Amino acid sequence: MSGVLEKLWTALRGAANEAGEAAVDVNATRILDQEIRDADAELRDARVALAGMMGKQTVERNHLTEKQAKLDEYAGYIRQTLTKQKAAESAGQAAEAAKHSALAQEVAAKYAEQEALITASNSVVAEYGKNIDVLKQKITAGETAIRTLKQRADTVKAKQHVIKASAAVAAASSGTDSRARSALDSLERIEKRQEEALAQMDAANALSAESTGEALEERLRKAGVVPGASAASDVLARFKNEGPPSEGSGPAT
Amino acid sequence: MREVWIQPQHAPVLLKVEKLLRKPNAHPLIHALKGVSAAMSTGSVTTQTLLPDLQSGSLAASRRYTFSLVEGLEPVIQAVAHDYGDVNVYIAVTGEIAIAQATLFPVARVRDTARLNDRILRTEKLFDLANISIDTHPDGLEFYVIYGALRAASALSDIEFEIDTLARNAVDAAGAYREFVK
Repeated sequence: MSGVLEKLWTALRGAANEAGEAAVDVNATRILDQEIRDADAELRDARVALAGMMGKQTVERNHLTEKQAKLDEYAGYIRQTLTKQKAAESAGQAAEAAKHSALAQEVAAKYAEQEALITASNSVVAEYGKNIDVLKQKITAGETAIRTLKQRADTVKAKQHVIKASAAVAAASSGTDSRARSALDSLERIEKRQEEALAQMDAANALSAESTGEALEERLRKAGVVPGASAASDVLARFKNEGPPSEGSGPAT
Repeated sequence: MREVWIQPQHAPVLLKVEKLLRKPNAHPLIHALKGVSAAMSTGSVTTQTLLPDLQSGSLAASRRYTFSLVEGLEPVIQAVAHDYGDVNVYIAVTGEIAIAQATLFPVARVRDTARLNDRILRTEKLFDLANISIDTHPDGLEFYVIYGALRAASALSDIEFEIDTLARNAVDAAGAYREFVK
């Protein structure tokens, strides 16, 4: 995996030197695809090796079973021979006993030989087992690596598609076109809307303040603080205080 | 009591599922299985299969989003987020990955890219489910972009959540980094 990243960095440096950083994405796709192919091939090899190793282990296990059977057979012979030797000894047949003893000795040697073979065979089976475990781990790691590589390659490709699409949309529309709106454009648009909304609220507040002002004036007028409806009675009162009116004359003209 | 027919190698999985289904709160599992069976029955998700799903989904139904297809060699879905100043979110599916991405601002408009990059590295974690990167358009113009990636086989509601989160994050990020833009 680290090999992939190293190759990517190399591509990145190369591209930076050539002042063509768009090449990075293209290189990334190419390198990742190649890595996936390599990892796939490695995985296939590992699976073939695993199958071979498991086959060999099965064959060795079969041999082991055969050897074990042979060992059991020898054990039987030894017991039989020893029994016969004992019987001969108690019957006082010294020559017969010696013959059986020699035979037991011979079979015991075979038994020991077979035991050594079984020990060797066991260690071979165990050795295959270790190799099988290593291969299985390698396969699991390889599968994980391929999944990760594929996800990276997919991400890079999906990003390239998105880049092409947004570039195409941007190219096909004018600067203020809503179809190619960047987040900054949108933010400014939201703020403009908010400003407009604020301005509208200010205007509405001002209006409502004015109307509240009118209502207040009205109330003051009713309380007689502000001249208004009550002024008429004031006027009449002033006329009444002038005393009796003379003929042909009215209030001051 | 009923017989179940499965592949023999899946027996341990069935056992787990059985145990989970015995619990009274098995709804998350059932919900997840719905997504799985949908993914398995409809085959793999592509940009083309995702578009009608999004157009009939909850984001479109609430009229907060408009989804359309940007035709091309590799078609891409364009989502317009009406709640977020009509910011454009582009969605593409490749293999197992779905990407949602929005453009923040052109690199050319940044006064001091080193300082901006430093700020981004320190603050990017604030924008959940999103990464920020620099992308180069085929014409050579460079842009700061914000994007999120998720599994293409994700439930539609998860993809919608990703899109909605990304649109909000895009506008928030533009606001957070605007002081560096002229």
